[in-house]
Amino acid sequence: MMKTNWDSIKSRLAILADAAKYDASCSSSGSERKRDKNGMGNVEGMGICHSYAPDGRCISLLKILMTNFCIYDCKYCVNRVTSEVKRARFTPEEIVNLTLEFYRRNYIEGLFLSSGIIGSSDSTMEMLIRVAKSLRQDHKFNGYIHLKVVAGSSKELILEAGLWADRVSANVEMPVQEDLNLLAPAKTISAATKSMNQISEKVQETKEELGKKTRFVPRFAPAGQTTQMIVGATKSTDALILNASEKMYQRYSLKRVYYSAYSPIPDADVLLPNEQPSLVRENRLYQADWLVRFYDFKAAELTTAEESNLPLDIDPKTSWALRNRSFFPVDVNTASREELLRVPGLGVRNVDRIIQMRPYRKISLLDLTKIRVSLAKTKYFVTTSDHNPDAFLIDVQNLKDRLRPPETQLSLFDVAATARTGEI
Amino acid sequence: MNSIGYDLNGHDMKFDQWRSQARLLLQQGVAPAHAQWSQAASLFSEVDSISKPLSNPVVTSDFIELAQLVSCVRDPDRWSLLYRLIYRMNHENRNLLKVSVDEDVRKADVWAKSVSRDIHKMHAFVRFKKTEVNGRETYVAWHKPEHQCLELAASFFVRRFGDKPWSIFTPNLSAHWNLKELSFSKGIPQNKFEHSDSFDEVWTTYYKSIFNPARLKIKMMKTEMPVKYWSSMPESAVIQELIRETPKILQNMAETPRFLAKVPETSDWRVLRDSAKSCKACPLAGHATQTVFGEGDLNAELMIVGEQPADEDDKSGRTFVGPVGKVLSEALENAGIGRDSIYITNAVKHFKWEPQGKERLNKKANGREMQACKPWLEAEIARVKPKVILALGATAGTALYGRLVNIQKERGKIHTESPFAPAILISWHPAAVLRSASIEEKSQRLAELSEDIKLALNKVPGPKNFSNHT
Repeated sequence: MMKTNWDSIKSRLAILADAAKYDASCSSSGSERKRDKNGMGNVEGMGICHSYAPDGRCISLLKILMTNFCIYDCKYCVNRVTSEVKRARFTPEEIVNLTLEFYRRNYIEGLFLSSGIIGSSDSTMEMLIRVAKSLRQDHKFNGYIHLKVVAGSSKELILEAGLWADRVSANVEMPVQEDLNLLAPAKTISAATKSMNQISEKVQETKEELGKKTRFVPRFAPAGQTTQMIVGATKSTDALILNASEKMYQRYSLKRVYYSAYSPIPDADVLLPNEQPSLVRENRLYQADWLVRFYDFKAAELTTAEESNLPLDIDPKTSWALRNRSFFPVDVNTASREELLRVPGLGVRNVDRIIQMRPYRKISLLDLTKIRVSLAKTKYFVTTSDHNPDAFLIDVQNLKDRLRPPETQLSLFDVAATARTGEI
Repeated sequence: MNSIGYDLNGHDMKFDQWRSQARLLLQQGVAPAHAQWSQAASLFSEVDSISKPLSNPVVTSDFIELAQLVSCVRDPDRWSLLYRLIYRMNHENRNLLKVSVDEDVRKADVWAKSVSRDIHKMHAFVRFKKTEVNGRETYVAWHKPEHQCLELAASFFVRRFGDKPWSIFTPNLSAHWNLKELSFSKGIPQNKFEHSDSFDEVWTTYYKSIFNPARLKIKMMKTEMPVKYWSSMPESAVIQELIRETPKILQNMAETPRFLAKVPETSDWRVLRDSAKSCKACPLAGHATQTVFGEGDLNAELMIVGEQPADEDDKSGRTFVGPVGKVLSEALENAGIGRDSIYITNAVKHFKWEPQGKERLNKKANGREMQACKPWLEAEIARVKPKVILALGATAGTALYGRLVNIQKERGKIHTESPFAPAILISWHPAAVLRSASIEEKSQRLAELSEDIKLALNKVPGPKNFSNHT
């Protein structure tokens, strides 16, 4: 290995990791790779979070930008051309090196590489591909690689990226074009969805070819694709956001949509909110997203015409249940899986446990506590083998108050107190 | 699971030993209450009462999977629990494990889950340090798992790092990979592990920078990365510092000055211009003589947007006068259009300068100043509603394209995906014509500027139609 100036690497790493941290994605799941006999690294389906930062976020991948120089002027982005942040760049070789050294020490599952746009989209994308290709070919590295599609990259390059990477992703950034016009006038939703469509078609095609087993088929982005939307930088409602997600899930078979609450950045543009990010709203969107993907809910069921945002004080499933009380109570001993999935407090895992147990046992309220169902919520919505008086309360006026979780302390107090005491 | 042929502290039973003894007991029909599983390879106290011999005890694969995990728990009751389960599966219900609410099943599930999690956390939190053993690059780590799960966890590291030798030390047991086989030896306490790796600092640098202070969630971090694992993780050394600095960082971000012009809601151009005169949204206003607002035909189909007023503009209050203005006039004339039939303005409305001797030297406005001033430009565009906008120079380009525009490359191309106008073009700023390095370059740029104005005029759809403007 070449003699490396690690001090220089460190100072640039600080800039280029800082520049990358606003992308919420850090997942390393959904792919399988065996170690090459001459190299290191494998992927075993389930991702691993190798560390957690004090923001509670998983650190699974070395998440950096190749450069934070960027010709775009997207207002929400810390790297926009008009921002005065420090700029730096890595060479492809330096990134390869860092990835290998990090991986070898078991710090990470692999690399998540993105970049500011320098020169043209394609020349930037080519550099990202070079890193992935070198890791795979020169170093026989079979750890996880996620490449970001540089906005506006050509189809050829997207298709090549998927040959080396486990996941490729294009960020749509905003749910509607009006938001982009306001904050990122050089970007379009259609450019992002065009890339998504190219990825999804190739993933599909590869899957079909693999199914035929007639010839060798190179793998293409086995972990599929994801995208990200920034939430709270504009006035767009949760209804708009969830509707955009639902469409993208249907059209581009996305593995996930990430919702990233816009959080203040240094040297922020004047058009953006300066408040703390609404992590509660972000969380509610993830819950709603989950309901759409795994609980058979339609996005449109989760908000109403009167209230186009998800309630913050109560989770979206409970909120739906309160608006649809005639659906309840559900009998846990006879209800279908779909019905059970709509019961507040019952998750997919517990629904499956209930269904698995039913042939052997009549399920009581106590049984529900044993599989760790929180009765505080669930008891109003189910009937069990024993008498459940709370099921009669389904129509009472103040049911919402009974279901609302106790107020929790604001995280900012948390910060202030911690800063004072030094205790963590 | 591969059984290993030594024992740790003399009397710790291994899973495979338990398994063969459990089979014996089942065959002899020993009820769980009578089997004793304390520490040593004990069998059963007494065989009496109800014995139900089974010639062929059955064991399912999901039980083996569960039992292997449960056997790692540091609880002396684990062996008797496992025997009770396998006994009941043979005598009571083959599918017992599916009854999650059964007390025995539930306890085994809880233990298995805890061990699984511990194994997962070992895969996550082991931190190798690079060292040399007998001249060979070797990686070593010390880690303290909650349960005795190193044997179950170790094969993961073979699958992943099988190309280099490594060792993982824990207090009870150590695992070693020599490129051929996995072996185990006694454990060591943390203070006997004497390896350091200067590369840890690079990792810590990354850890610090990937943290977003605006989202501080200490509790979440500690739930997912329990403090009991921290002592062998290099990044844990900076956690306190990161948290302590957070309020200051947030405060700095909140206090960064942000400027934005307040534009009256009107389509009356005179009102706009007069309000702009008193605009003090950004610090540039304090240094300039006056606001230089746009001017020209309010129904123009072509709008030209320059960068910012020049020295002469600042003094006269009119845009594109002085030497730069002369160049523009010449180019307009070449293109065959008079100033009166277009609208001309700038992206920034105040002159920015720095003193050089007695001169006021033109200085490029920064992003924040451009943003502060942008509402004026937007109001002008909304009022004039041009069909075509020609941006002159990089600042105007950034304001209108939303990105840095390479003039050399993009002049002559028509940008149609803009929220500001159906067609947007870019060309040289007249100042760039003046700054040309040679006479040839100067005349070429002037010619190009003239061409671009012509092209812009060609893009104006149809004959001039005033009825569109109200």
